[in-house]
Amino acid sequence: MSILYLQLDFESDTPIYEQLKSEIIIAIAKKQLLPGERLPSVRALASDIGINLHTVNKAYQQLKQEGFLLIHRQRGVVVNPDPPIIDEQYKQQLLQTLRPLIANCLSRGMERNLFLQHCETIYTELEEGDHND
Amino acid sequence: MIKFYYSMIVIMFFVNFSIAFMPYLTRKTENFGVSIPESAYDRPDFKAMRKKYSVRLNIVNISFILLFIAGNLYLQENTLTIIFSSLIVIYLLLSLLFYLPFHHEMKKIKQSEKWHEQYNQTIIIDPKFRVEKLIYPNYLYVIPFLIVLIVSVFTWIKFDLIPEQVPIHTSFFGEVTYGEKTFGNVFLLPSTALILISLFVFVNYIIKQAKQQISAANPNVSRKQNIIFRRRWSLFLFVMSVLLTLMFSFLQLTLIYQTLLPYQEIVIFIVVGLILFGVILLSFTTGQGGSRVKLLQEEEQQKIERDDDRYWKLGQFYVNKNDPAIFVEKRFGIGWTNNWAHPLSWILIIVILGLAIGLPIFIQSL
Repeated sequence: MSILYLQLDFESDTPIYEQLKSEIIIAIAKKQLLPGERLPSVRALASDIGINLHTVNKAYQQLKQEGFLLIHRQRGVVVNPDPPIIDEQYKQQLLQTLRPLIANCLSRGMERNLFLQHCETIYTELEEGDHND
Repeated sequence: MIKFYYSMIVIMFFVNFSIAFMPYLTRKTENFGVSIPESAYDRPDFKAMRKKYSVRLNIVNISFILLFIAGNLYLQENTLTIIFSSLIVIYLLLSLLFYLPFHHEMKKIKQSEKWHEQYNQTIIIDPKFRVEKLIYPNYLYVIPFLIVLIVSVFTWIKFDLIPEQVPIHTSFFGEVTYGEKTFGNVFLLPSTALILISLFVFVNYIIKQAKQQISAANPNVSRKQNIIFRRRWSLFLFVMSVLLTLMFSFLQLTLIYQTLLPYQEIVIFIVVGLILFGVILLSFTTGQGGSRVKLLQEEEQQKIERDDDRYWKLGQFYVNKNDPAIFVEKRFGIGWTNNWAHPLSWILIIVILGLAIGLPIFIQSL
């Protein structure tokens, strides 16, 4: 069994709470965090990372809003047993995120196939999840 | 009397052991309180620094012991006790005096090396770390607690057998001070044992709660080392609590059965000896954060932990108000220390000191 690590880069331009969010979503995608599984409390996670409580709280709250996490008063933070679905709203959001991204690739002269290949690789990597780590 | 003289030499050796070899026991991501990349730990100039520090303190220790032996030939016991305590204090001051130049030198080297610009500063944590068994459970402490309870009940039953004068204090030279046979004086030892057991339970809790520190360069190894480190000290703590409880129980029984008195010294000597030996053995086999536990090495990542040197005052005191953690691993030492920017750290230290000083006084007044 491989161990799930959350990795935060303190020199990156991406804010820490964004990084934390991505790390948790990746872990859920890779099935390293299973539906219903518990996550550390805000205080416990913030203490282990050594950052402000608000930073962790912000990441958790946004993940809750997006439907990845449930925050119970008693049971603490758990991975949502009913993962978020792809609705019309999400589709719109996805296209909105992809459009500038692909535009960026295109203006740099990246070929369509290369871009699709990268997508393919990442998909496979995430799907294989646990075994590949 | 001669035994107490020897036990002082043993204590000097123990203090020296736990301080002079400290540079060798820290994590390999630190040298004299300054964080470094793990790969730099074995640099020849760093090795030389560690050796210098160690050799100097060992020389001081040996000369102090010779001084003490010489003093024993000419001086009174009371003078010797004073000399002994001052020698220990001077030793501790000297250790700090030897440490500081190395600490500053390391800071300078670090500034010119710019490690934290070459490597990627990352923090790695395992969100399921606390699901692991990190400590031996606190309910085990029911065992020493029951021992104290049994001894106390036994004392209560045999209360009449206890003489009118009971020992309440033993000096370093074995001179015993006696006190009235009051309830407080008779139950002084069991209550001290209870305070100690509660303190151990609390320390066990600290071992569990302390901040997770996983090396970014080799996460798998350091994670395992960290777990082993906590488990071993937690187990040691429990064994120590049982040993001390047994020792206190034996001393309590000497109140009732004076025929046991001749064995008192040997029991104390064995128990204290075992504990000191255990501390040294554990420190050298495990190292700080488990850094000396040999595990299958993994490929080293080109990463370094986030540089938090500015929060480590003199490389020894952690003061970081952005970190909600209360208990963190010591930098230059074995075990854990507090985040002094956290108000709870100060409250805890005041409560513990207050209990340690206040409770014995309160019990004796009963």
